[in-house]
Amino acid sequence: MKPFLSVESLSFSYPRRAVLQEISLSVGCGEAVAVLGRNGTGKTTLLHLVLGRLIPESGAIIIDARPIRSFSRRQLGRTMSLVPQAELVAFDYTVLEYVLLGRAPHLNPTQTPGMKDIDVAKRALERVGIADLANRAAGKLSGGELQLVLLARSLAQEPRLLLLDEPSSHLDISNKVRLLTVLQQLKREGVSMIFSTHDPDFAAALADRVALLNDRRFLAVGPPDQTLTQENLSSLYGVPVTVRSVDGTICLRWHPARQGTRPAETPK
Amino acid sequence: MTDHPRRIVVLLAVILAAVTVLSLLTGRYPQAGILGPARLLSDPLSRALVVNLRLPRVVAAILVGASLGGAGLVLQMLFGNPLVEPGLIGISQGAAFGAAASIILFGGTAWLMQLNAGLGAVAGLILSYRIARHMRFGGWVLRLVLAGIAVSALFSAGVGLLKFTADPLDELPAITFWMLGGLWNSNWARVAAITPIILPGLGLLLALRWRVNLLSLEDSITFSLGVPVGRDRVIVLGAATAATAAAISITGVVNWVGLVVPHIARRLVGTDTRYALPASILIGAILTLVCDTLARTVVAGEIPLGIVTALVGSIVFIMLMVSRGMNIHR
Repeated sequence: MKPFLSVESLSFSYPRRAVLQEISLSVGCGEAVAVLGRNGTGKTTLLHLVLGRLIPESGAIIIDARPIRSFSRRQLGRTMSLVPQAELVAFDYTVLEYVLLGRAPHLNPTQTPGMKDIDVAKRALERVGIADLANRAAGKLSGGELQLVLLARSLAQEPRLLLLDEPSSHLDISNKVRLLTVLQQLKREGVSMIFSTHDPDFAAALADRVALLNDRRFLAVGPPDQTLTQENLSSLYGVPVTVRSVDGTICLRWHPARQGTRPAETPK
Repeated sequence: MTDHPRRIVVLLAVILAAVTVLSLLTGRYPQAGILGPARLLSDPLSRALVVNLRLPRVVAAILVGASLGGAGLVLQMLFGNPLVEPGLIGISQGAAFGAAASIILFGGTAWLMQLNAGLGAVAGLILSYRIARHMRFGGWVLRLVLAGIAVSALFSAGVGLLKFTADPLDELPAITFWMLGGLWNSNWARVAAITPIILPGLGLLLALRWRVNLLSLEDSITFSLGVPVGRDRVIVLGAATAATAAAISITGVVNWVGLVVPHIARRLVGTDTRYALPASILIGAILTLVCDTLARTVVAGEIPLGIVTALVGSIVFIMLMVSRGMNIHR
């Protein structure tokens, strides 16, 4: 299968810090790839590079067999969408108005959204399960509710690739399950996705492949059961982690390191 | 629900038309008060007065108010900050410096003053923008606001220096009056000078009225929504600045309209700039016209417009702040 997105030996540095070094990754149609790594390893940077917002030092980003630079901004807006982890809503938009902004790449600069666009926005809200929030003020929602609104706005864009920055970070368990259901359904419809996360359980439940980002390179890339191992996660986070499989899902235990003693041994 | 804001915008247009007619008939001829329609038909002098004196002034007030209201809203959205107005990013002080320099260097020639005020306004914005681009810390909004404060202070210092060297009998009063703001010099020539800048500027903003929403989001989000952020920002900022510079060039410094009007507009029609921008333009025109009519009729002389707008604007702003529903999130 030809990949929908391929990132080829990508390198990127901020002025005084190298972040990514010759990273390669491909994502097929309808495939979900999770990126795990410590805080500040460059997960969000990777998403912004794929988005085209940051320009790599070297390497290429190919979408649908075309280099990203050959797309117009508007074409890219219809192709992929970033779902940020959180966002400051500076003005009192209603949730529906805010989600409607996702229609921008489908409209001419002088066009205003019409009935069809409002339908798409409403369907996106329904899909994420927050149709009842439509007339609430977007700036006054809880972190979890806002995260779902941001996903709905991205769905209104009708993208083929979703870039999700820690999509489950503010969600309670019921909303996490709801998010998982929506994203799995999108995968079946052929939408590809890359998501960063600190939640290995969530990664294992959604991702087809997991990439572990450690010190500018991928420590491992592969199916969850092969990558989310005790050895990998312990070395990724630098603390001992125990991985157990319970009823087919992956469960983690981590152990606070005690002062002056060796960290608890990982059970065999 | 979607019909409601549209109706309010139409209502505002009707109110503007009514205020325009009322303002044309209000004045101190033949005595203080309102000129009756019968008198207007029978008295050629009153007709001449309305057409040659009051009408250009009313049109100027509408154009100026529409520009300040529209630009105020656009700037607030662009900087994601409901407390921004043209004065905050170097536009007003740049214009003031341009006008003061023109008075000292070229005397009080009207068109040169307008030109220099307009150039000063644009220079203020470009300088703020360039400095903000070169700053090494902070987000875009913070950088632009900080740069704007610094540039405004720089131009204020320049104005102070010019005032210090100005001839106290002739030039200094001219500068002072300009800084107070007013429309008493309005005539058809001045209206003709600013119309070709203000109408296309506001027209462009109205054409892009829904897009302005997108520019209030964080850069990476606007980018992700398929918008060329830099290009759109320059277009919208340029149109708003051009209209404001043209307006300031004939009125002098008129504060508060650009700050207060967008708040009233958002309160009436909601945040969506599709309606808030036309509403802001109309309310700006209504407020400025009412203030200017008061400025020229309340006392026998004339109160500078800038003083009336500051008085009305600050009272309205205080009312908005203490009432429910004003929300500022940063």
